[in-house]
Amino acid sequence: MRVRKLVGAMALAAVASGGPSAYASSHREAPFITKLPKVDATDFYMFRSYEANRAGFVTLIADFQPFQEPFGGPNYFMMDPDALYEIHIDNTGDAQEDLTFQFRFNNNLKDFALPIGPSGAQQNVAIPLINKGPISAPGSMPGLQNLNVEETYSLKVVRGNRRTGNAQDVADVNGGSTTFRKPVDNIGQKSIPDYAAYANAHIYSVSIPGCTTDAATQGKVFVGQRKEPFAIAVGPIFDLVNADPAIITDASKRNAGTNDLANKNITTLALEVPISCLTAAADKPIIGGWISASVRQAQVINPEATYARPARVGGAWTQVSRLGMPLVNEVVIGIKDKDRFNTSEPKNDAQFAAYVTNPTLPALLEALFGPALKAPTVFPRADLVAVFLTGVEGVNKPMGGATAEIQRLNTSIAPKPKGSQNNLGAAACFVNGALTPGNTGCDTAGFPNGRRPGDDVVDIALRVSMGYLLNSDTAAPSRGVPLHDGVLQDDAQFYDTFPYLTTPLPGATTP
Amino acid sequence: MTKQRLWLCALAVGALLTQACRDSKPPPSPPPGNMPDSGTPGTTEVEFTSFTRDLILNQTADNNLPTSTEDKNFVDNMSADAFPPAFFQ
Repeated sequence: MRVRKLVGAMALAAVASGGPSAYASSHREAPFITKLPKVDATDFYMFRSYEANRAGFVTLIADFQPFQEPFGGPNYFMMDPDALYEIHIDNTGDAQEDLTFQFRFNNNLKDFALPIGPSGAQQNVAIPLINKGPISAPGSMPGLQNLNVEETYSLKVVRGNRRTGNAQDVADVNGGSTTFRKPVDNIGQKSIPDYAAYANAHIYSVSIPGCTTDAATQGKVFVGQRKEPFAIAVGPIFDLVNADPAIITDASKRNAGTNDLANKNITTLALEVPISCLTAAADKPIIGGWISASVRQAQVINPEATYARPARVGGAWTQVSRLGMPLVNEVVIGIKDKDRFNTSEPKNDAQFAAYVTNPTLPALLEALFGPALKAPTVFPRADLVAVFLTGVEGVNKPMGGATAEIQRLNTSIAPKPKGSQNNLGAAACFVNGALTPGNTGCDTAGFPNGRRPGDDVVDIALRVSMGYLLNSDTAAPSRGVPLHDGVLQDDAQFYDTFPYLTTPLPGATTP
Repeated sequence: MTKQRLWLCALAVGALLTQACRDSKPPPSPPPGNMPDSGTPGTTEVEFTSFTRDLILNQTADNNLPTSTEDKNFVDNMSADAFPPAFFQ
């Protein structure tokens, strides 16, 4: 094949134009994004911070790059310097971004070399590894000088349209730098003996233009590898829900299965922002949020690749990944529309409405489990529209809000500290479909009012899809079945301080 | 308002609309060399290499919107050296 033809065949210029994800919440959920793992959004969390003395903040966590094997060296899982990673906030209810936090990455190769050969005839030859010795926290040398590739990032806040709005740099309150270090992934215990301390040294207090006026309104940012926070029996679920119905319908066996993601890591973009910065006004406490990743529309592979330029990219930023509510593109949207969903914007979600009003998942579960699980018979599924597309009345539905698939968080609802959160989120707040805040276990601070790391969204989504929020056994014969995937997720699995997600698993342990 | 006055108003509005339409649709100018405008809709055939090169060289900006590809019939008839090494420098 001619070189040029090869180049042409690999050119990535066929991404649909923008005007514009379940079961691992959104890991490799659509055909096209499987080709672009560095920009594959996997999970989005948005919740009132429950760290002590931080209740005035909202924590936003965007996870990317699924199924990371901790030993995946020597390059590990750097972010894509040719991509744009974004967290969008809508504070007016129209499903269009009012604020966007933009992350861009840069890799600096130090190109360490070693003198190789006999004395007098040595050649300096570049090493093939990401580090040439142990690494420790910044400021506690020796360590950083052994890192061969240093990854940094910038963070901007854009007010208005994500492309044409007013963009301003977020800065480190200590020194004012607008460039932040990302810790290298957890190579292993010999390279980084105390990874937790090393990573924590990369949590920055930041000044956010238009938000930070004093020490009390300083935000926080951390970008780096974490242990995969999502927990799910993903293998059995995709194998036609290969599970014993007697187990997955028994509430006492919610942790009887195997978490297939237990040995994986993820890359996290975590940001803590004052509530007052995210809301439009004190009397409009409900915000919407979603994340996306975009790449330049065209890419031409360099047939003579260099480190700096393995390919040349250009054109407009073109969205290739989108995530709001968990599991949507993975188990709600049909295969033929998954790629389109990833390139779409929430304001145009009417095109996907049938997937929510007339969902296939309950019918599939009924087909797989027969009488044990009967799908709801009422259509359109207004209960699912409320949870996934509009917000729930009395909890997180904004006045006059648009119908769109985004997370919605009522920032006026106080956070619950670790240890007192219900891993079924706000589900216990509903009795026969009616909001009953006084019901035992009611936790309106949890999913679907935003999403905390400890919310077991798989179990919640399974139950809601089978009609948990409907008000009669006629409409939803299985609404009372405590359906689950056999893998428990709860707040005990996470830190109670920013960035909440835990230290990533090491690529190797010291014997 | 008299009938004559109404007629004059209608003529004036018509003339304004005609001018507005002319203004919003300037005659298409031929692309320089073999570099078609990647944003031109309705083109039956667009040379893919030129389209890609144009995106990279001329459409790279943080505030641009992506160019639609659904309305284009791509053909690939450029020479084998369409992307010389200098393109990647």
